[in-house]
Amino acid sequence: MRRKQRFLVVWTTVLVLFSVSTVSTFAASVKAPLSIHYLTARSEDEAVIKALKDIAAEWKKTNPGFTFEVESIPDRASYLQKLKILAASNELPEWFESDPDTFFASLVKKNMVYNIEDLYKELKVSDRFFSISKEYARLPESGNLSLITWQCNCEYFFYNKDMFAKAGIKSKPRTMDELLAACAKLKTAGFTPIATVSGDWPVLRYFAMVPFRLSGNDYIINATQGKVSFGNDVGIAGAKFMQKISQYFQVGFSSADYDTMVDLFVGNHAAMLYNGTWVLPELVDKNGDLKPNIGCFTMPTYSSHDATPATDFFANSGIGTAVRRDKMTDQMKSFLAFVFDRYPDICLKKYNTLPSISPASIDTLSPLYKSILKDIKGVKTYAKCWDVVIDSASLETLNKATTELCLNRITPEEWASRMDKIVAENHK
Amino acid sequence: MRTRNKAEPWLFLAPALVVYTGVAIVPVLWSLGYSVFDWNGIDDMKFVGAYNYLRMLSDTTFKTAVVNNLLFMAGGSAFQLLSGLVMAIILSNISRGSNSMRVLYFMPCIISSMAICKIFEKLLSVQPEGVFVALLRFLGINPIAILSEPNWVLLVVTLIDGYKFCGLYMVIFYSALVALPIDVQEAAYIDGCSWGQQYRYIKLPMIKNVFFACLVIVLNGTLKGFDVPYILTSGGPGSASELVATYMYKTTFNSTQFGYGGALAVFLLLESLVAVSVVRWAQVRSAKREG
Amino acid sequence: MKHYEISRLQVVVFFAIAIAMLIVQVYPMFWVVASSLKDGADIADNPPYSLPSHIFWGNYARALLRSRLVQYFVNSVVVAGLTLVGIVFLSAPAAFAISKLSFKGSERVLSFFLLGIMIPIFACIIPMFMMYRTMGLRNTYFSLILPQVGFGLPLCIYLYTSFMRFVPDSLLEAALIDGAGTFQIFVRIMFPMIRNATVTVVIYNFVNIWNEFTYANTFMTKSSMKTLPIGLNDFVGEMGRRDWGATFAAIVLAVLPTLIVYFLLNKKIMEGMVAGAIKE
Repeated sequence: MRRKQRFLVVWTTVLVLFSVSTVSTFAASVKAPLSIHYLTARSEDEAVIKALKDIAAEWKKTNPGFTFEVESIPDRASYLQKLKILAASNELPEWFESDPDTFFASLVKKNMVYNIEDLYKELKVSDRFFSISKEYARLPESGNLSLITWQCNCEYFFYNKDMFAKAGIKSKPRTMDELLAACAKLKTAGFTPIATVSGDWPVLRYFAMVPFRLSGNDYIINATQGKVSFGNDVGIAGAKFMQKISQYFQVGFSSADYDTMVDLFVGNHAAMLYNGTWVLPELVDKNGDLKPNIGCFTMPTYSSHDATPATDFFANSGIGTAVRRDKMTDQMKSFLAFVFDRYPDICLKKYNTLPSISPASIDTLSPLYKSILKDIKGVKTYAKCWDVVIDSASLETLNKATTELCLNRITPEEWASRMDKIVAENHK
Repeated sequence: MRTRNKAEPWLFLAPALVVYTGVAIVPVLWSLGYSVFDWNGIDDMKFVGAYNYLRMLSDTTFKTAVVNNLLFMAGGSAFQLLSGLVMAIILSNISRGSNSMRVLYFMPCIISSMAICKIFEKLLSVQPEGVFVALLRFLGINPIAILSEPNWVLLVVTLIDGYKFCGLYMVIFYSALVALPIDVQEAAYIDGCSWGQQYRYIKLPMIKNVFFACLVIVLNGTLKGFDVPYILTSGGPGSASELVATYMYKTTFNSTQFGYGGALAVFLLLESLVAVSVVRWAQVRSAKREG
Repeated sequence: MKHYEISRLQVVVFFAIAIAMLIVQVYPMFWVVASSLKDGADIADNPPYSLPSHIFWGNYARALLRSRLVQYFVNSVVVAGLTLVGIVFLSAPAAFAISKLSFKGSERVLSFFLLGIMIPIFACIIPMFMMYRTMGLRNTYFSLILPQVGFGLPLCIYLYTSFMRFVPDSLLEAALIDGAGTFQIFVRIMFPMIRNATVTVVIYNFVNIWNEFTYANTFMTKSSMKTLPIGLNDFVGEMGRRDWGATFAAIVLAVLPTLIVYFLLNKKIMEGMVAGAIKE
């Protein structure tokens, strides 16, 4: 009898312990406060991060125990290295940032991130986002939207009015030919026409312009998937344009860095800078208008029968934030709803940055920002950034080959054949 | 020297062996294992056998990188050892102010690679004009953006990388020269040796071992050279300054091909192995000749 | 003391080379200091090699306030110090065993260690990352100290064995006959005699540890645990726009204390070594 009793006692204890622990774990998981580790590629000084931190502090008042820890790695190369290591060891944090590139596409394919389009629908905020904020973050091949975007940027040619006047340029260039003519005049007048950087996205933008005008995004999307050759008519036209315009880049553009490029323009040593509205803080005065010496114009058209009108150009919404699928709890969703509610006003009014969600009112904006918003809303087809569409393994070759093309060390045909070869290898 | 019992040597070795094996050998074997797979860190690993190694043979960028690396190794080693030796000899002949000069000569070593690269980038740039270009102009030569010249960029990168580390060899050679026993030097002086001869026949041969050790360090360092080429030119323009280590880094982290990156790491390892073996063989031979 | 007969010309050439090399070694640092004292207008308007038109301390203020430079400095010092201690305490005994204690397989052990010199770090990052996560070492100083000790051992053991060959066996044998234990021989006789090697090992590793970037970037997630090289990237703003003034100021602040310490220690170490040479 004693044995049986002992047996019963042991098993009852086990059962009791088991149920207590289950209940307590369950209770704990329900009560466990939300904790977010946010791995960001932005500096902690950026408007977006400051705004999010403010919102997190507000949320904490009604949700003690909430933690929002920001790990900032502003140097993009170091950030990407860290992100890839984390992904390879299955250690991604709750929030992390990425562009909609091929690396991110593989994360999406493995179901590691939450579908943001679904999130927007669940929280009923889809309409409040600017369309660029949603379109830019879509993956090119699948159209999947899994990144929250926080900004609204578009790209312009900024130019030095003084230099243009001295070189005898009377009006803003509207076509590529006018742009090339303006560059020639600037060079004759002794100015450096364009400041740029190769080996990175700035030069690739120039390359993308002609193909975008001739075929919209079809050329680059199809070429990077191996469906058409890089050396078809559109591609060769683009390459030839590159050969012409690269003569007007500053000396040493292939070894300059982003800072040098911007400094050259801001310091009045170069006449034109193609860049995005994120650089505005350096180009505007106290009232939020461009400094008197600086003007801007949008991407020129190529010919009279372009596939995309002059109102279509490059716009992006900056690097986006992804949320780990298994961390998207109900608590997380309510926090995100709160964020989407408070973000636009804080971002705009407190930090003077265009948010990705349309703010309650735009009356306080300067005329410059109002016209930028108008431009953004007028875009039907957003030009896709080549460095984001192409897979990361081929991007290296694209950068190298483009640099050599600009330095006139290879021909357009050679450029195209290298690209075809590397894409065929990597796009198996 | 014989020890009391057989286990004693192993007691001396144990801590180092344990740490070294756990920290270095285990991870490297693990990651070398990646080289027979095709893995981008996220999707499943696909076994591909020797494919990555075969790919190396037809990869033009890789071949350029290897050639560049050998040139970098030869030029860099010569430059660093020679300038280190010259500075050490200068220092050992100065009595006053040698301490301050030693510190000043060593300065580039303490500045981080990122800083050195950015400094030289600004010094060598044409727009805005750096001091190097201003000097060229002063001498009547047309300014060129030397970092954008594919024919020159490898040389520039070699020199800048060497510049950063030559202070190290200066310290090593100096401490070796200064510790040479004085009686031999005095004897040579009495025998009528000139200043130059004392170096050629006495001092330099006496630090031969140190020289070989430095040779191993510098060969190894230049074969794995990464910081300066990557930060300064990122292997460019084109592939003009691409080295095996920068290519491996880009393959692993930019293109996320951990398998191919692992194969490149194996190559780097074997290259170093060959280089170090050659040096050690030379060292043993020269020791034998001394008898 | 010896006085060699050298011609005037040789003296002139000698000093010319010495000073030329001095200028080359020092100019970049001088340039960084000069640039850190320039304000925004100065940088934009004047060529980079010009001297500052007036001394501007704003960059230093920004460098100290915008980032936790002092904290990063402390982290770098702690990591460097503990790593150097670890390396010396592990490699010197091991080299002693290999070069002076005769036992079977000493050559093979040396070769085993030498393999480590050739390992490129990036190849091992992911396995190391996973290992340290399992061991709970992330965000601790040990995650930086362990790999640097482990990878630093091969070269230091090799350097020590090279220097140890100079120490005559007879000295050690005599001590053995006198009844000294092996460990005592190592501590009392061997180690003091290879001061050169220790200096070399410490300086070589110090330079590498101080500049080390990859491990700190990978294994540390908290801002308070960053080391100096990572901290220098703090001044990168949007789209990679660097605040160069503040970065230069930070570089100067990072280098200066190191230089001062090296200056002070240097004198003492070199005096000791020269004294040791004379005694022989």
